Amino acid sequence: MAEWNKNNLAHTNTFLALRILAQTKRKFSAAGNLAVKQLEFFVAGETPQMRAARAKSLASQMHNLFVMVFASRLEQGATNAGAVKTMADVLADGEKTVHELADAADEKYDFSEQIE
Amino acid sequence: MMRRCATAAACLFVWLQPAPGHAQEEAAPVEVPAIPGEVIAEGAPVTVPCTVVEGEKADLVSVTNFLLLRGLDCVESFRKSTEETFAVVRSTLESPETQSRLLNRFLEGDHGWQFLKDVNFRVKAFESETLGEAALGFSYDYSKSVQSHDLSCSRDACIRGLDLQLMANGNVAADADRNPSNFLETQLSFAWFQSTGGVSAPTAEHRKQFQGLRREFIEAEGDSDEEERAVRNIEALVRPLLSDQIYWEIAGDAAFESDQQFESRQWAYGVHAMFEIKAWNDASALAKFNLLDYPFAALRALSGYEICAGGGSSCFKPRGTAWPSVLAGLDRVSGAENTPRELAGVSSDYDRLRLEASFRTPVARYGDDELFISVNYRYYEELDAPPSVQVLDLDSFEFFTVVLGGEDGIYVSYSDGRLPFDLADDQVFALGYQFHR
Repeated sequence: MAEWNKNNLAHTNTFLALRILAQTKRKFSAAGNLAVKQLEFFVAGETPQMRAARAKSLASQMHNLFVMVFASRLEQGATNAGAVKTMADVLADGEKTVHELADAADEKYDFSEQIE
Repeated sequence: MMRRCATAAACLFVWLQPAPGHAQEEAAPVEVPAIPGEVIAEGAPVTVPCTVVEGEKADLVSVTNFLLLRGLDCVESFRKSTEETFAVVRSTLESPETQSRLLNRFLEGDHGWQFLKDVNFRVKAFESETLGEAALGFSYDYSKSVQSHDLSCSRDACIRGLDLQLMANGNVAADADRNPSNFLETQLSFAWFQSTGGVSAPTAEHRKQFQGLRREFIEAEGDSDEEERAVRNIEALVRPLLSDQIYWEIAGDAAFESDQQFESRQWAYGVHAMFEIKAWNDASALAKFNLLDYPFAALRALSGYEICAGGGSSCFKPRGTAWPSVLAGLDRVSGAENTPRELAGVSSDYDRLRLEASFRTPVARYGDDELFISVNYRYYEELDAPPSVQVLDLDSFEFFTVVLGGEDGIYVSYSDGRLPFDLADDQVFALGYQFHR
């Protein structure tokens, strides 16, 4: 797992998406170790079905930010639904970290800066 | 090079670290007194007297480190010098939190059991108001997409797909009678999901501005005001572009439900629909008129949680992201064995309605930390239940959990009600402390 680093755009974009969506108020340095269950959307005690659906919902909104605002592209062969599912699997697991979420996103998105 | 420690506990920890290049076996041991602020020469051969904690209240971290790092050679004198401390260590090692951490550490190792990490095993103590004494056990929670497929959607900000998902969760107590939520669920779910909205089309100029601000953020010194200012500027640029997001899914489910001994068990086949709406933009009507969030918005205003336009900190700002998510399902329940319903003499298959609602919202700020309230409610009802089932009050079950806590630190949770297979309502109150890596 790559070190939590601002120069890694997968890490930076994931952090910024979570801040924009008010999932955390932490600074970047402290956000990597943040557990998914500490994010604002996570509800204790819900059924796996509900959690999985809510995770997909948040992952969809992160996808919107990545693609529409951050101008990131999907990696070759990746699909919208596949990218959302990859992030949703991490978001449905309360013990996973924001760092792991960013690394999962990195598998599906090309975060390199696009010049328009 | 010197190493400095500020407190006795910190000194103890420093002394326990073998100096680089100086294995402790090779060095002549020299006793070091426990003096806060003591400066120790790097590389000097030092050892810790076994009685270092004698006569003082050692904290749990230092005592645990002492035992884990130095082995058991000092335990005998340690016990003689302070039996009370030893009891504290034992209770610490036996605590569910410690065991969960040890288990997680084991699961992080490079061996064939790593897949268990995704299952989220957690050692827990179950404490119930009605059942008295606590019982040790564990919980597990697994959710993984087996296969997904993208479906085309012509609108902007639209994601549509198919998803086959495997899920399992439950609580297992050493003494099943003391398990307040003795209900295990394993299910396969095939969903058609769709998310629309959430971001209104940004212009090329917006994207360019974002990239500029992101560069400022990356180039700012870590944890500096400049870095935080860059993040706030990005939030100010992007949040007005957010819009209402609607997420829904329809799914077919097959589930196996049982108690932890697998004595009571049944199959459930059915469909569910889940709906969620998020008004990500504070200016949305859905945000302004989220009446459910009004009490919490008032608490936030009182605690100075919100930063208002103009810099004030006591504005009333309901959240559009705090609308409850709702799930409704209809199942055919069959193959029941030893369920309370069957023990009441009714063994026929039946139809069951289930409802669930969840939400979480911040309620206050204390210092730099936030306090949240989260609520989950579940309801199960047998449709057209026979009178014998109704008389025994086995036709409906409801269960809710409310948790008040921050990202870290103290939390309070309360659960009330019963789940299928439970004969009576149970109230579980928990006051705990959570911390993370």
